Amino acid sequence: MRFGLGPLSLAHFDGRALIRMAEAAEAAGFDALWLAEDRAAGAGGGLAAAAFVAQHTVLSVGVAVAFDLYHPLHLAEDSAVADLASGGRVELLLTPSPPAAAVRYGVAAVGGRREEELSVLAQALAGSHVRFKGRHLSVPAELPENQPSPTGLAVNPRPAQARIPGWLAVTEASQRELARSLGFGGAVRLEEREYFVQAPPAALPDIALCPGHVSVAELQAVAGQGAGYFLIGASTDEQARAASPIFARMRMADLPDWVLAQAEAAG
Amino acid sequence: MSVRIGVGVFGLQAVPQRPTSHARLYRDLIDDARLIESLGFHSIWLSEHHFWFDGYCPSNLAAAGAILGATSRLSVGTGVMLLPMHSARKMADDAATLAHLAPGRLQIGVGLGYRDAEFDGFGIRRRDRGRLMDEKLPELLRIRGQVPRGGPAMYVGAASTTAARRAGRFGLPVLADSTMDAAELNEVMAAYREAAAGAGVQPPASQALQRDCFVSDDPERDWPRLLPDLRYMRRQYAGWGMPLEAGELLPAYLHRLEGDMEAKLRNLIFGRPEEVAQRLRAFAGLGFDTILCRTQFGNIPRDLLHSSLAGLARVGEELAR
Repeated sequence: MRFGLGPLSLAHFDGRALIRMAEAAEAAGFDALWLAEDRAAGAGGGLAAAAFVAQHTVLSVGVAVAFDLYHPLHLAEDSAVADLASGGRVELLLTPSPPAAAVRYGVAAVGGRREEELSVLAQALAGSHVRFKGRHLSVPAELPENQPSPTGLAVNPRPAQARIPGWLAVTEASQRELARSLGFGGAVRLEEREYFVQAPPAALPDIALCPGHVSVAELQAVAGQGAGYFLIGASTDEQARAASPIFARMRMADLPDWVLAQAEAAG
Repeated sequence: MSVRIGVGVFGLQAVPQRPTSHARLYRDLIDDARLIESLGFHSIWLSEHHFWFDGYCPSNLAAAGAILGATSRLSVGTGVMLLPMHSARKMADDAATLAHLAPGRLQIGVGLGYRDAEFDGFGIRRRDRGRLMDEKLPELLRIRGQVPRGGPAMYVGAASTTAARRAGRFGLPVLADSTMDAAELNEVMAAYREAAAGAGVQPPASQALQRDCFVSDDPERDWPRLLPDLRYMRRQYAGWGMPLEAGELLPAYLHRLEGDMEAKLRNLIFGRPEEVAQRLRAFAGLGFDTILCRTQFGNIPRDLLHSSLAGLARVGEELAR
């Protein structure tokens, strides 16, 4: 069972504020700090920001990124470099972009394109030689005007981790299957309980995306359905501290009340 | 003219003669950046290529994020990012976030790129690179609206009069390539000024130059240790820039590469601090107030890199006066 703080929108946090939240997350017992791009508002660079904040924390640094606004090999390269620069602590939450971001990037919604981009990204993150022929995307493109290309392209350098943990935002059942088939976990909003699925032992547990204030009972309800990683949407030091008692109750069923009572008295 | 010294160019390469693990290379980058900051340099510079076996850094802004997080004053530059291969909107948004995290410390240099396999990987025709640069530069410049204060300084990499004219038309400073000699630089800067005037643009007073530069207290000792890495690096760039022609035999191709490499090595500035300062001052006289000294050639031995940085710091103090 794992707990992350965030995601914190890069549209709202400057460098000092991010570092302060990383310190608060460490003190409160979180396992990871999560950031979120907001490309509709011009806040990109999630992986660069992860590399930045990783210099100030020992926690894992997760990033919620839109995966469908630019070439997936760029996303794989950003991820690999950020992972190396953070000593192997990067995690990814892959989200489809909202319409406002797609308009801003001049990207048209075309059926099947997102699936192709995710396939290329999954291959690239897995360290394979990428060779992909789709309706919308070909890697290498093998354009006749270019010099002959290698038969496959590998993203170099490799990330520090054998495979960067990645979750796909799931808002409908078909995305659930797509995530599983590509080796990604699912990330589901706490209230959308029907999309949580118990993963096989070797796969990533589901992420439950939670608000800043959440009860143990709400988390326990989805923990039994496959959620094993909880992102708590705390955005202040106080909210981070307030989440802390939840971790003990979630990590041990039927935790005796005297344990936390004693902690409160000591604190 | 007072001159600012930046150092680079870090490509985080695990070259065959020194195939260091990338986990170590990125750890060392952070340590080197802190050293460079402590030595008083203005900036550290990165460089971009894709899909190459030695892991040449494909994401300069992710690496820049790590350096900006690990240091407190040092500027970080990209020398250069290959704009035609990127979404300009993505590059602007990524740079805007970094500028927000570390105001006033990011420098963005962009260039065309030239390796066919890199363009092909991203589904782009190499022959379209000039047109794409012209289309994407205005979009990238929108970052000035996104980050009105503390936004990145922008440069256009220039190894030719064509690239310099483009920089001039956009009113952007050049980051002149290290492979040009003084005569070629004069020609390029004349084309730059002419294009700026033609476009009715006032060119910025500040211009940047990249130079291969190694400072040694004992040139006879260091030269034999440095030369194999220098030759390797220059041969690699030559091979990228001049691919094997159809029907060309390998011996003829290797001879062609060797000739290009030797020509480029002639522009290297190598010597004791006072000699290096004198030669760099001559470039300041051509109108360059920021000189990016390339003293990392692929992945040279760290003791050599650090001794050159220490000497270069003394050069920087001399040129800042």
